[in-house]
Amino acid sequence: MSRTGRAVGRVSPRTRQVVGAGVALGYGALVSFTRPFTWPADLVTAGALAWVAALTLWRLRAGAAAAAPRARGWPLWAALAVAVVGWELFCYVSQPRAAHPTLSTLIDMVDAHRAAKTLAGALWLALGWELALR
Amino acid sequence: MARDATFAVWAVLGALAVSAQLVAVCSRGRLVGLPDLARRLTRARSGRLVLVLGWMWLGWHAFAR
Repeated sequence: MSRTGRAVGRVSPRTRQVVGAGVALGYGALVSFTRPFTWPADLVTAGALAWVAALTLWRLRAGAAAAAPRARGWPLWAALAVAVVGWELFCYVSQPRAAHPTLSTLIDMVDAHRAAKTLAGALWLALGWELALR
Repeated sequence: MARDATFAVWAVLGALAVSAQLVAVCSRGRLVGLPDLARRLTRARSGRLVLVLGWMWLGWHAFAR
């Protein structure tokens, strides 16, 4: 404890958020310079996968939390998920493929722009962090 | 024409998701939002594992392959 009474060595939540956002954006920028089907893309993506996998395993070892009460309105989200998956499958099997863009096509459109790909990479990494630890 | 219609359906699905989340935020707990739903699912080990595996698939598909 410091003379002012603040705990020494503790990082404030605000600082953690800023650092986390910086790390995520830095990762997103790194991803934006890679191209799919190349080893740099494999390496950068695999690195994030390994990191989140390690965090998840560490969190799983801590045990499960108490079950939460049933969430109200979850059928709405379930219906939306079914609709998205159903439309994706329809587009995937339809011909010609060019007339039926799938989610992959939408992702490719985002990845074609460096700024958008940076943001997508950052959000993806942040999502992984949240899913692994929260 | 078919391509435009397909994009329109994707746009509608996206708008529905955004609208549902906005309604959840404004409902003050009467409707669960997507982040809260995910948090509830990750309380169980199986839920966390499924969501993380889905995240992994998404990232690999989007950035590597």
